[in-house]
Amino acid sequence: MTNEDVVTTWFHQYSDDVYNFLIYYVGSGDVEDMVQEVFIKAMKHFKHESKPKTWLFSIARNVAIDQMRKKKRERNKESKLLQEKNMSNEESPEDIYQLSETKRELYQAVQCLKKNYREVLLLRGIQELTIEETARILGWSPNKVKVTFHRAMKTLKKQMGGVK
Amino acid sequence: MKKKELWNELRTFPKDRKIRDRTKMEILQRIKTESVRQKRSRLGPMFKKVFISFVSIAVLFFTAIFLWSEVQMNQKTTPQTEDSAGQETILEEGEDEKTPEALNEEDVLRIMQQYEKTFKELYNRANEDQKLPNVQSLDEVYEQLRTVMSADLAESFTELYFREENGEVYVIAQDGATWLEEDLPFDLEKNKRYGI
Repeated sequence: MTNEDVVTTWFHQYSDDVYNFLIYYVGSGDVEDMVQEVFIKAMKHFKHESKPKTWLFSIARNVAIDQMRKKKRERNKESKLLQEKNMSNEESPEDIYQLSETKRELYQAVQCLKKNYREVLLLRGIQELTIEETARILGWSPNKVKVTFHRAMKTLKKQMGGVK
Repeated sequence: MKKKELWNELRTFPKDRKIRDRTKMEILQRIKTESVRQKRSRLGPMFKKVFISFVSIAVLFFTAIFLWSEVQMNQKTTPQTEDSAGQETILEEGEDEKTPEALNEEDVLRIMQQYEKTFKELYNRANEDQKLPNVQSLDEVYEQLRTVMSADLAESFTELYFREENGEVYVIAQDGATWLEEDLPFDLEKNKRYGI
């Protein structure tokens, strides 16, 4: 099997998972280009992975971080009027998935948390990944994942309790 | 909301959004293009390496051929040198063969008489006006003298005793050459300068 065959197989198996992860991570439905970039990067830096999904998610996270930084810079350059126009064009995960009221509130609460908490809740909570998988994607120790997830849940619970 | 409920809410977030088929096709096409590009970029340095190797081998090959031809030429030249050395040896031997055997007194007297006779005959042939009849150039004089003396001496005598003017040769009146006094005893000595 060539590298291309392997990546193509991965694409058929995991492209939708990567797509859903990116929607929640970026907070926008406009992530198809990022999915493409993830698999092009996988092709460029190909390595035989025993757990390709984890590797693809870590690439997706890096791609998303780069894109968000780029967007932030662009937004700083553009006028406020254009910002508003662009923002209104972007579809949010709440609309994409037509989330229930509770889930909308929960997602918004997650998005308000600090980056560490947000990432661990997205991966360990929403994406239902194991501690080891989450640790690999974030480049943390499993223990850090456990502790951070515990603290993030506690903070989230507090926020949700406050809302309710 | 309890922690367990919160956990359940998080886990039950929908994750069923699919990428459009058309977009998937485009991405697959991009993966294919990237794969081709990578193969080309990998082939580039490989071709470069093959080319450099080929050139190096060619250079080594031609250097080897050049060195081999040089060695061959040297091998051919060495016997030739020996041959020429042999020739020299042969020539030297030939010269030795041509070298007259040691002269005795009789031979010396005969040669000296012939030397004197030839010169005097030529010199005394001159008319009253000192012109040599039937001689048009100093070369003829030189050739005649050369029959009994060395080239240097013949040339010296030609310049000293004869002159050429308007296609005629005249003798120059002056003291004659030194001749051997046959009645007096003499010693034989090898003289390379005047090889009479």
